[in-house]
Amino acid sequence: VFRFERLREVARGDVASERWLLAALLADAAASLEEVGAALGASAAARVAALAHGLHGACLTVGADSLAAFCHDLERAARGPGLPDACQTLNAFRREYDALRAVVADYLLGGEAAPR
Amino acid sequence: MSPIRVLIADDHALVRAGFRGLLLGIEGVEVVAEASDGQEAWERIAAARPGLALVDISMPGLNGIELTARVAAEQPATRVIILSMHATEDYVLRAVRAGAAGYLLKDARPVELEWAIRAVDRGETYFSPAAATHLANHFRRGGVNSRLESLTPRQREILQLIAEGHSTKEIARLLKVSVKTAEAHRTQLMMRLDLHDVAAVVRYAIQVGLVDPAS
Repeated sequence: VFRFERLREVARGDVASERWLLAALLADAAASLEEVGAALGASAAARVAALAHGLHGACLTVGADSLAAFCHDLERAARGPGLPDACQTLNAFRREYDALRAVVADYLLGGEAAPR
Repeated sequence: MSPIRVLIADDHALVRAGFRGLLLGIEGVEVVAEASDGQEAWERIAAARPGLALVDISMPGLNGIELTARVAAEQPATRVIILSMHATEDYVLRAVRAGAAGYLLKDARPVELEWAIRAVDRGETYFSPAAATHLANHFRRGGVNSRLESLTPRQREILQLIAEGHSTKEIARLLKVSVKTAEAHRTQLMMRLDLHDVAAVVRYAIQVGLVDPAS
């Protein structure tokens, strides 16, 4: 779900920076989830693609590989001939977001996902 | 030795923060400015005159390719490294044609980022392995665009006519085929090129040199 090695590279091992980046990522992902829902509701395929593209870049930069892969697929689907199914897409997005939130929480609490 | 002064341009704050962090870890590199869109990047490059700009391709307003072309023409002391999530052949070739000195993926390792920064600062170029592979393949084929190669001669002809502004009816008349046949060719070529509207077809035809943008 998350490549913590990448996060540590980006934060240069600074715990405060790691926390800031993770909080920013979760906030971005949550906002994108809301906005993608609205865009799907409005059949705004270009907006869905743009949102997925933006979040994809952020995820890759800090190591959120699983959500990055989801965003990549969502962007491709939104640029395709038909808009992806709103309900299925949002459910899948929510699952990815929840998984990310769980692994981030575990990391911040020093759990198993924090391979230091 | 004076520091390598860098600007980061990306519309996503998290990406800018990530690259700022990576750059801070490289000795002799100083982040002098950041920008969240192409126009702001242009203004900051003109004001701060960094030696190097890390530029995202997909930015609102002035996109990264357009910004690169403008910087290469008007602020050549600033060299541009494109940041992207994908190294598709089209993106890489467009970046090179615009004057980019480098092409990096957003998940580039810190050591690769440092190689790129130092190479470009020395006046050399740096292309990530994926981008370099596309460049090599492109020149191995004699500079022919791979997607363009996938078209039949008839589809290429129709692509050019669309880009020149001809309607399907006009294309059918010019090629002495039925409107239905011209329409079928048009649909197939757009599918092969993964283009979804006429504007994208025109841009593509200009990019691969099938039509002259000035004409």
